[in-house]
Amino acid sequence: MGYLDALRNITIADIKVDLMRTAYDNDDALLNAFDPRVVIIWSAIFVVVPWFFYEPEPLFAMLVASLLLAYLSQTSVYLLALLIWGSLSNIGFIVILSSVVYWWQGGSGGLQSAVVDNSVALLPFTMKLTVISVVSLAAFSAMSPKKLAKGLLSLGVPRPFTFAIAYGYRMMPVLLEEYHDLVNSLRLRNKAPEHSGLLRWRYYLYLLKLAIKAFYPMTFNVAKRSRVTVEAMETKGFSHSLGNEASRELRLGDLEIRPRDVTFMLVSLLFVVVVAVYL
Amino acid sequence: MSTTNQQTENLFSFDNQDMMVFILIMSLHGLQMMFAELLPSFSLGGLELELGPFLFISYTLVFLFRSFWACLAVPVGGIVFGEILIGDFSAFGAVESLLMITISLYIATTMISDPKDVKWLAVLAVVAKGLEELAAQFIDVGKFYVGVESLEAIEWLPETIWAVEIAGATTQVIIAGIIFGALPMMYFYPRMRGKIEPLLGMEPVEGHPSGKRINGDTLKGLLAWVVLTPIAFVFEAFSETSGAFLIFEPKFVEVYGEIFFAVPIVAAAIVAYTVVYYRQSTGA
Repeated sequence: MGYLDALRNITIADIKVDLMRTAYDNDDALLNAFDPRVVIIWSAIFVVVPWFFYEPEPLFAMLVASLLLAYLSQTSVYLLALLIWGSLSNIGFIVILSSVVYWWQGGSGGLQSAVVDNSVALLPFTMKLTVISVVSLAAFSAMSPKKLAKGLLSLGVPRPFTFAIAYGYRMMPVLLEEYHDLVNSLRLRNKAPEHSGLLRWRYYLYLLKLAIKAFYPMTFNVAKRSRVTVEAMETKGFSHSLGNEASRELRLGDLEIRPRDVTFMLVSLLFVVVVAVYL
Repeated sequence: MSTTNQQTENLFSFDNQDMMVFILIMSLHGLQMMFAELLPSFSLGGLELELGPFLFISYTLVFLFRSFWACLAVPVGGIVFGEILIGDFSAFGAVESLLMITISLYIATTMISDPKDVKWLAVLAVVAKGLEELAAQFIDVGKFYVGVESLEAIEWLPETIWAVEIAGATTQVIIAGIIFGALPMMYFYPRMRGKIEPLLGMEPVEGHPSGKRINGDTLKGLLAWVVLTPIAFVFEAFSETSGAFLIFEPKFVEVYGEIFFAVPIVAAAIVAYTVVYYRQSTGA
């Protein structure tokens, strides 16, 4: 057990807490205060809007605004970093690869200037991708699963699918917890390799095998749980209510678009217009 | 609980047992995706070398229950746990995985002639992964050709993209399809068959009624695969509007100016405000 293990254990625990906070703690989130349909449509618009801008300045303004929004929506910092890193590394790879090929083919200006040229050419593109990821992350992680499911349902997504969303959110922490416990109990009952080998590869291979084997008891537990879930749902008349119009109306009855939803939409569109005109 | 054999029923009929199977596969596939996210991975653009995803659990369960809904549960689990949950959800992009993963798995399940022949099942797991990656590769390269006009400024990009896509698909089939797919499945499948079905009030599913590996359903599935790939491509291309918008950019903005975009936006906003106020004043 070295420093690396301590670090890894902390991060996994942190990530678990972080994910749970993302999924459940959204009462104070800014975007959670609005009607889910408005937020879904809003995020659909703002996933498209960045594509209309080609200069770095307005895109930078949008990036700052989307990050602010993500902060107000209590988005998980870990996920945010992961997303931004994802888009940066993807683009970075293309820049480096194409520059190297260009240089290798005897392009003028040498390797360094090829890298600089390609990065500058792709900078707006990178920012667009980042704005889009941050906006959708803010919107979808700020809404509580119940609200999101309702919003999607009223926009015409089939009910079994919206049920799957709500169920997934509810079950995710339970599943993660149970799986973690199973892996830990397998670790208690197994013997770690005595010689961990170069870079501790034997030890990691051993952990990986345990992680795979833990799915065996896990599957039976989940099977029992899904049977209980379906039985509980049926006692509440789930399949009976599937095609029932009255049930749908009851379910969506408290959805209402209020003036503040429109204000939210208007302010954000105004922001885009201001950015488009003045930057 | 009834113990009807799935295959005597219509392909798309959905009963309580299908719902249980759906929830089971969706949860476990989602769990393994979330877990695989935490494992170290080495990614170079399109080329990914990572531990996992642990597709063996998804393949084992799909081959055990072998209904259309079991196949559909895999992409749904991926979307719910892997995309919506972490907020990285693109509605149109999700359609691609819904269509292609479902049909690729379905083709594999129709080819099960003998449910006890684990080696053949391992081959089928690789077939399913291969079909999925083949479609994904066509779609990715096709996306590039749609957006080619804007990207041809960078030399050697077409060759680079082809090479990266083919290498990426191959490594995916080897790592996710074989090492973390077919091989652990050969360990899990025989141990679970006959044990997990009773928990859901079902009997183990038998082989395909025709008894042949390649039968009518397989051919129908392959036909659907061929038809669905371009449809999935359209959705995927639409979700990443990059190509389309980049192409007509300069002239469009020069002629009308960026203010042009504000006009319909403001008009729509005013209409929306009016409608909401009107509905509030009349509704309450």
